[in-house]
Amino acid sequence: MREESAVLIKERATGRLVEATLIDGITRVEVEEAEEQWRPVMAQRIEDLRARQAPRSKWPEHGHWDWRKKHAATQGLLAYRMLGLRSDGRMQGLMLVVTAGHACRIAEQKNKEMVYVDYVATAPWNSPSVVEEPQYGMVGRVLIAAAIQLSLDEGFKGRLGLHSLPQAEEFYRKQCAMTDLGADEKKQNLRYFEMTIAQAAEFLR
Amino acid sequence: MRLRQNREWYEKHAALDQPAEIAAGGFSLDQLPPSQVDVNEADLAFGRLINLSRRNRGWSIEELSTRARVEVNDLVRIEKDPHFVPGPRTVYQLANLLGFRNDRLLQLSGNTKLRDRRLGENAVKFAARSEPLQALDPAEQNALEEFVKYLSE
Amino acid sequence: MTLNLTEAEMEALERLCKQKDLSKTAVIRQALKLYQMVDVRLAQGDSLFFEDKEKKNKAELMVL
Repeated sequence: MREESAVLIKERATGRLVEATLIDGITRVEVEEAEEQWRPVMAQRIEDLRARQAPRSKWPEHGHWDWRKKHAATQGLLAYRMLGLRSDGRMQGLMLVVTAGHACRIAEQKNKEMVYVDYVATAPWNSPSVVEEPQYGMVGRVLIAAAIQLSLDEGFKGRLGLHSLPQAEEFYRKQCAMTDLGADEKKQNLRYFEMTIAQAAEFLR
Repeated sequence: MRLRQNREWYEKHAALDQPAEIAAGGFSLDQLPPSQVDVNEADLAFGRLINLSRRNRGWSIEELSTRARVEVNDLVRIEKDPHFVPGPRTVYQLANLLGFRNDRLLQLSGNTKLRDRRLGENAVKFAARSEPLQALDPAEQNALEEFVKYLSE
Repeated sequence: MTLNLTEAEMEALERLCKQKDLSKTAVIRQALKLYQMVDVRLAQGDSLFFEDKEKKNKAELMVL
């Protein structure tokens, strides 16, 4: 079922809050449109970095994600939800979450149900590894707030988990105040972050 | 799901918000740093197969590229990088030129899921018995011939 | 919709509610999501395995 919420994100150049729409249950057409808008910006950046022979660590780490494939693979599955954040006629961020099959790891909530953020990314023009001056901020914060709200709605009390790409670790550690449980060898050695009920409540407060 | 945060919440977070990457979920496979890569034997099989088939015919990479009408870059990556997944067209061209079944080669190259258990087993056996050396020794020749037979039947 | 459960089923449901810190509705919804996910994967030709890391054995779970 599709649901829309009116939300706000930050225009970085002016610091102003601008209107955006959070869409729970985005359509294939919307995902295709987003990919068409995102892909050339990302491809251009990768081309530039290649030409400059920049080290791999400076490359955007999610350069080759294909959201259309993720959408197609999870379409119709009750456990998966794809959300989009739209503003200024363009998709500013996308997130795929799964609400079954992932268990919490922090001792105080071990084995309890959670919302697991399978994939989340901001549009390339909002991403500091892609452009010098990112256009919109708060995309990550609004999407994480949405994941927490989803966790509350599902009865998981705000519990949340995800594997961060290295460049985003600071965002989850500092800006979202999630617990860092260290590198997970089962998932490409990415660091695993989890949010407790208390941390989730604090984030939404 | 409806998000119903009030304006104060957005103002508070706007003040705290710093430009940051937010991507979570997993590296794209071709961007994985080598130290974090799990290479299993089956991943090696495709590159080894192309490498040995090419050398068995006495071709250079350039020559294979011309004959199969595929990019040199792709061939280099196929032979060197076990995680590189070439496009379906490249695989199709190689299957045609080298006489392999396209469906099996697509599975082996990572384009389609490895469904055929015997193919997986044969690939592991092949990768374990072959090394990308300068010339094919008789054991490699055997391993290659056996695997090629399976891929073509 | 009314759900008719046997006593044993009800007990299992209540135990899961307690263990998972979920309401009865939430447990049933989780079960449905997982059942559907497994069913779709099986229909695609995948298999479902349980793995015992210590004994290093794998057992295929038959879902009919």
